[in-house]
Amino acid sequence: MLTNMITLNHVSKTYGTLKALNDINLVVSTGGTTVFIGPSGCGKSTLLRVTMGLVPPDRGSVFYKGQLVSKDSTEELCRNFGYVTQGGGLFPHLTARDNITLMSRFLRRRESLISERLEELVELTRLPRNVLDNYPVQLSGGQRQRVAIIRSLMLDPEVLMLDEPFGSLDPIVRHQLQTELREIFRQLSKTVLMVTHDIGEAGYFGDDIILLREGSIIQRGTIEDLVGNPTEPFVDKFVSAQRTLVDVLERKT
Amino acid sequence: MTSIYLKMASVLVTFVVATAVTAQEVRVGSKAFTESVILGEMIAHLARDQGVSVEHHRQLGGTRVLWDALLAGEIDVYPEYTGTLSKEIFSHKSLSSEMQIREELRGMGLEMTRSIGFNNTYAIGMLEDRASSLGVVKISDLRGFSELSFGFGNEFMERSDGWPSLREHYQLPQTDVVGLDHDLAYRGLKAGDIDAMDVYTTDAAITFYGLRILEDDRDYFPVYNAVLVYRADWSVTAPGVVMAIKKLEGNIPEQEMVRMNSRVKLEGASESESAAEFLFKNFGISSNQQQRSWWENFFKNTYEHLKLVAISLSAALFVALPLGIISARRRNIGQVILSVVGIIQTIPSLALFVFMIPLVGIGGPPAMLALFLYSLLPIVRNTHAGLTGIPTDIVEAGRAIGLSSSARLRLIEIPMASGTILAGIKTAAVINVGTATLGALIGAGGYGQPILTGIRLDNIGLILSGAIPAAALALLVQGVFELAERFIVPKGLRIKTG
Repeated sequence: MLTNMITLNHVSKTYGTLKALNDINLVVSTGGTTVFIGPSGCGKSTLLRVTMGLVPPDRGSVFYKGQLVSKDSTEELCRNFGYVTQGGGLFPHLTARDNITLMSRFLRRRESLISERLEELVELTRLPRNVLDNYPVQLSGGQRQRVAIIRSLMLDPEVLMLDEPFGSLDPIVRHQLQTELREIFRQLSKTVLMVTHDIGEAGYFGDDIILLREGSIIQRGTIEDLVGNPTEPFVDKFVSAQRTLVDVLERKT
Repeated sequence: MTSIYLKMASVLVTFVVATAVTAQEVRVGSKAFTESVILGEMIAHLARDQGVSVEHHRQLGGTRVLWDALLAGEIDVYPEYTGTLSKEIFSHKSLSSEMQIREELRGMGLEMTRSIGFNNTYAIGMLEDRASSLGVVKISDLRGFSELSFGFGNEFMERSDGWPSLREHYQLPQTDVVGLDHDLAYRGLKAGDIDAMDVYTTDAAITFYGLRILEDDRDYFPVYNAVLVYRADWSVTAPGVVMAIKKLEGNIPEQEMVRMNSRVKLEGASESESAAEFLFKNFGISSNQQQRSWWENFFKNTYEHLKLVAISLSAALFVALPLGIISARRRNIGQVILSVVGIIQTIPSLALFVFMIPLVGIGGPPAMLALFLYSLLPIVRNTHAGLTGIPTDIVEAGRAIGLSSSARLRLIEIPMASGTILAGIKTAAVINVGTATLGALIGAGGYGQPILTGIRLDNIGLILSGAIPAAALALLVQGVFELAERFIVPKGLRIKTG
């Protein structure tokens, strides 16, 4: 098995005057969950989108298993990635079922295989079966994310790319989905790249956490490294900016 | 050997030409006023009397349309006036005699008859009461009344022998001068909105409205002898018809023309009847009257109108949708495309119709081409807006799941933009139904035909018989598209929550 799943060499990307990515060098190995974290505008979402080939870098190159990711290669290559965004990115004109099966049908997979796979994933993500024929506007936030996750897993991709997948969910649903999703990742043993701004979420999912600021990688390591061994004051500041319930209760008394 | 082939070829050519001649149909044109339509009908009767089939493009919109159509070989003959030829068509050449005009025409492959007997020149007319209360008898008397308002036909406003030089010639001080349709000017005069207007001296309306014709005391207006202008090759291809129309030379005195005009404008006879009566009385030629019933006219107009709209709109769809898609996908080209179709939209419709004549002749095709061009903007713009308005995360989701560019367009982008695109098509269709009424000006028929005739004959009923179906058709088209939305726009985009 190749150990280097994704490689970024000197990747830079600028939007107008904003440096979203500043000479990023990065290797992500197979298996495990890598979390990109950092304040808003630090470039973490851009990093994910550049890696998938959705956004071309200004400079540098991206490789997936040794293959160059570029504008021309993305179609085939993209099928190796499952992508889930904050709002789910569901196609509003298609039912949940059609959203999920669109790509498999486009690739003319056997109908029986498609429904088998759908069943399996509905089971796995605990999506209520009766909402499959609803349109995105008729789904709750949690259902929408579940549908998006099923859609991303339909073709059994090697890598899952999650961009703030819990960002728009209320706390109870978020907590529940986080728990389920971590379980799913463990079962499927897929390579997962996740973007979040929540250090708790990062620590909960991430074996490998990459902290970014203004387009540059500040520190990379486990949650224990970031908390116990910050390389610069910003890391400490970012990590301790999270208010835990214990903090809150202590301050009140 | 060669000469034998040549002879055979020439025999063949002669045969083909001869066949073409016998199969030929005469195409007559006439301008959008009653006298011209009557003369057009008269030519048609005379040609039919020679056993030739005739197509009469009635009441085309303006001298330029007829002239271009004649040059393009779209019509063979139309009634014209020497003054119009010298002062308008050949205005840059300052021709003074009929002989010079004839020379000039010959150079262009055209011929004209001698005067058919009357001089229908311009004159300035006022209501008798108004004129006598002001004491105006001659055009120069107008100089003392700078506050008077004038309403002139659009052609008269522009022509080199029209208002600008009339004003100069007589040193007229009036500034309140509007251009309007000739037949509407009579109503303006009656209603007191204007005090004086241009009239044609053979106009039936002069007696009807009780107009005083002001004396042209400084000999300003040129002679407008009525003639028939025809294509020179006609003398070869249809010698009988040329002989027949030449019978009219010198044979229609002014009083006869005024009478024929009155038969139509005041007594409600058709132009065809009026012309036929004259021919029977003076030449003993009886003409077949083929009068269509109201319903036949209605169905014919409806058919023509629907055909104009359907063909131009479907052609526009085929072109505008791809243009809209290209402009949404390639920003640079898109800007150019949107600007070009935008500019087309600003061209006044009559001008655009006339531009089309040298390209595709008169009748349905130029009107369809013009309507096609007008339909582009709403469809291109809405397709562009619909596609560029899709949220980025949806577009990226489509790319991320690995759909090809064309599959994304087909499966995601077009369905999502369908509501906006359909709205654009609906707008184009409704505009199209309305604008198609102007097609009558270049002989395309449709609901514009009764509107145009109604304006010419001051017949409100006739105007409404075109205007009401046109409005109803616009509403119907709107309704059909709203219904289509329910089937075309995906359900997921139509559901309202909360």
